[in-house]
Amino acid sequence: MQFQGGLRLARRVCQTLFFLLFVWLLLATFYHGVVDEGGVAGDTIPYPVSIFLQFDPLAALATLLAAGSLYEDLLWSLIIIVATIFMGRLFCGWLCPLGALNQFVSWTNPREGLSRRIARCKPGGHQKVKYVFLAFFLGAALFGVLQVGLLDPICFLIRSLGLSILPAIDGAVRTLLDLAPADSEAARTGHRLLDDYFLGPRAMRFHAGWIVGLLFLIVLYLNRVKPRFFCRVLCPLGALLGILSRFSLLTLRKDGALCNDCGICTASCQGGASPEGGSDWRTAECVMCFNCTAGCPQDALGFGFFAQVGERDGRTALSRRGFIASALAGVAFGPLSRSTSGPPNDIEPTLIRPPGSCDEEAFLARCVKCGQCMKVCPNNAIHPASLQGGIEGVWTPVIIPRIGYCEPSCTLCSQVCPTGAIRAFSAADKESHRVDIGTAVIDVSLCLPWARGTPCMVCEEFCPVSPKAIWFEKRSISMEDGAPREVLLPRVEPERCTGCGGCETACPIPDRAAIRITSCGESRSSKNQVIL
Amino acid sequence: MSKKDIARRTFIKRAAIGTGLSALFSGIYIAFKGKGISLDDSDQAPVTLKPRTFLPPEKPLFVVARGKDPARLAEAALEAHGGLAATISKGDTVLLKPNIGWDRPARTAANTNPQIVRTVAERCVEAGAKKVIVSDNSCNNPARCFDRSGIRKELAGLPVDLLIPTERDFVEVDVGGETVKKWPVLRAYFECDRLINLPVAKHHSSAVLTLGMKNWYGILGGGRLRGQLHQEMATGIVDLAQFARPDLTLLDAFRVIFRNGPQGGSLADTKDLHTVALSADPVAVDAFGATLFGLQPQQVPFIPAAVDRGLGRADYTSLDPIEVEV
Repeated sequence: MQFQGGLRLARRVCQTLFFLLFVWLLLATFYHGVVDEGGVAGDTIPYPVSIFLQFDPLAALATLLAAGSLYEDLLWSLIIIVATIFMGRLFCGWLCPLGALNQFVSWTNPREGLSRRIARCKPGGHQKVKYVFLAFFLGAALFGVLQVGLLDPICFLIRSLGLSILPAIDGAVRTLLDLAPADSEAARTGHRLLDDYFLGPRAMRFHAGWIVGLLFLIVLYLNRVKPRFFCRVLCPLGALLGILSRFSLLTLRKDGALCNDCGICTASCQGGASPEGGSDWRTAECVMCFNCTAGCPQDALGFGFFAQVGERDGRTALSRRGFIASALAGVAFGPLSRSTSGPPNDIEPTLIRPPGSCDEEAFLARCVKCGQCMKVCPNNAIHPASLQGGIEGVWTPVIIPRIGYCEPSCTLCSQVCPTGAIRAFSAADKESHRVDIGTAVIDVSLCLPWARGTPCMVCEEFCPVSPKAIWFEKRSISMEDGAPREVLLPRVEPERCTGCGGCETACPIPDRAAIRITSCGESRSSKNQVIL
Repeated sequence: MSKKDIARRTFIKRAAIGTGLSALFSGIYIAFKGKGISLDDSDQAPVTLKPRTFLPPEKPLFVVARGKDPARLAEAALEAHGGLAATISKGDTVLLKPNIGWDRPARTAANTNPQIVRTVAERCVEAGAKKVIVSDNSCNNPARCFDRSGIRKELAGLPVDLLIPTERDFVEVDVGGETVKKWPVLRAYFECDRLINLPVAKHHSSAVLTLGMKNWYGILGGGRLRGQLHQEMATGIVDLAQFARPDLTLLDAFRVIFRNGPQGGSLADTKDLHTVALSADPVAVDAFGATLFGLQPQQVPFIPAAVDRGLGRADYTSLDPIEVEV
């Protein structure tokens, strides 16, 4: 029992370290200054910020099915696959940052009677649900529809923390700092610390980010219903690893002679894996947390390699029929979601994808909605889509140029995309129109010179291409009293425009910009073009 | 006792918690509520910050330096001007205001030459400045502007405060201009004893050129609303020049953008003029800058407007320019 208790401690330390690593890498998903790359100032991120996703077998498998190829670094996930085959769901219990968080929150539950805890932790039909999700997502992926990112724990956690929870914390702390007398040194230092070590000086706000955050809080709350609710009921990655662990060599051994049916092991079982004597240990549900062995007062439980036959049940909670039915439902989801008007069937002007994005169908087959591109964008330009991209495209990245533009020298989003939905590109690719994202169009009913005869040139000033895509037509217009006025009217030369959106961001009209980006002209599409 | 009954102890406990929470939220509410809602915001705390009042001497020095090395150019210009000892006293806080507006590499000349910025900063430190702040409110992403302009790298290791402003570094004041009225201004502007303008000369499609006086847009905050000041460009520029009142202006015309300004982006948009100009008269510097682009000072609207306001003279030749070659 002492040794087993040590394992539990080791697991807790490991979970904490990996959770901290995860948060640190998420914070490091950020602009880190420039380094000289052969005379060109490059903005390479010096840390492997996508490493959790690269080790995620579900992201690898689902994108492989959907897109038909595996993106480079996702091969790392083989390590987790092999480890799971031999040693069970160690990933869930020891490495997964969302699992760690859920377990921690479950642990802070108010203490209640042993019988109630046993009742909560017992296996049951609820455990089937995650296999339903897994089969559904993989069935959908088979036909190019990738929805796995909705519930994949790594995507879920990056998206929730990066797009909602951390910005909310940043805002809340700053609000508290502002309660201090204006100009106080403490408040200024506090803000500087947040600027330098948290999310940066710019307040990042994401389109409908509160929904992402609310779902996260619900997931945390569900730990009160059952410990690690997300892990045992919802997590499709846990389901996948559960299947892989069927014949794992590292198993729970029960000494039936010593067991006095006290139930302490069941009450602390995080996965609902039936550790108690007299029942089969359910391999697929066990997250290898070692709570049962550490807590057993009789020393009746212990983990070891090669168990006796008949003490384990490697089957999953969902039957084969259930799997097939769920997968078929997933297969059906694709045609259903695409049976409507709108993208990806039709072109949507506000669906402005990050530079380097694949053509829409290929993009949807690769994007796991993790939100790393949104987190890293230094201009807060990239946002989780609501319905701009159709039901399939929920939480895929979309640029909202009124909030932020695509910085011409920046390549960060392509560096952090784990699946190649945003392909690698260089600043030179941007300059030479290989990754244009749209075209600027002028709304003459709003534009100051066009609509009011007032001089303004901010869009032209911000246009970063050389020669500029915005030029001035000198024209004499007639004012209300009939008096002529000479004005410079901004015009867009679409062939030179990259769609970066600097003009739309900067347009000094406070509400609706008089120059706006439309997706037409995006390099990734052969159809969404107007110039012959 | 059924579950629904509440024992006295429980009742007291819950009542105490409830009262505590109410008190907490009331406190937060009162703290956040501030002064209440009013159409008239004149009851805001009076701003005690005062703009600078520096006036150039009757006949300030005017230096033009030419040469192939930016650092030595700035060095020579300062030397010919008699060094910074006359400007900076021991213990002064000095604000240097280069143009760091754009996410462009140094070679494209969209921002002030980083070696010129470094040289001036070094001289300020040598002259005994207690604190040297280098700041600008960039148009593009600020961190990238400071990085790619090369200015952060050049200043690394110097005892200089590189201030990349955030919205909290600005304070709303009455600028007192014709078009620039209430506006957020960089707090460091009010905290410095000496102010040195380090503009770069560039083409500008609305102001014709951007020179020293236009550079003061960079001490304004206000996000995209700052762009509204382009409606009455010349007046806005002069408003700001009247407000800013720098001790010195050193114009970087080492390499200039002569088209596609103020960003440029291509070396083809630039021309090497290998020149800097230095004077306490901001208008004279800009007038000289105009001639570098083959223009008469009168052809750049904000220059005659500044003369009308009495901010300086356009006829820089009357200052008997000191010309140095390095």
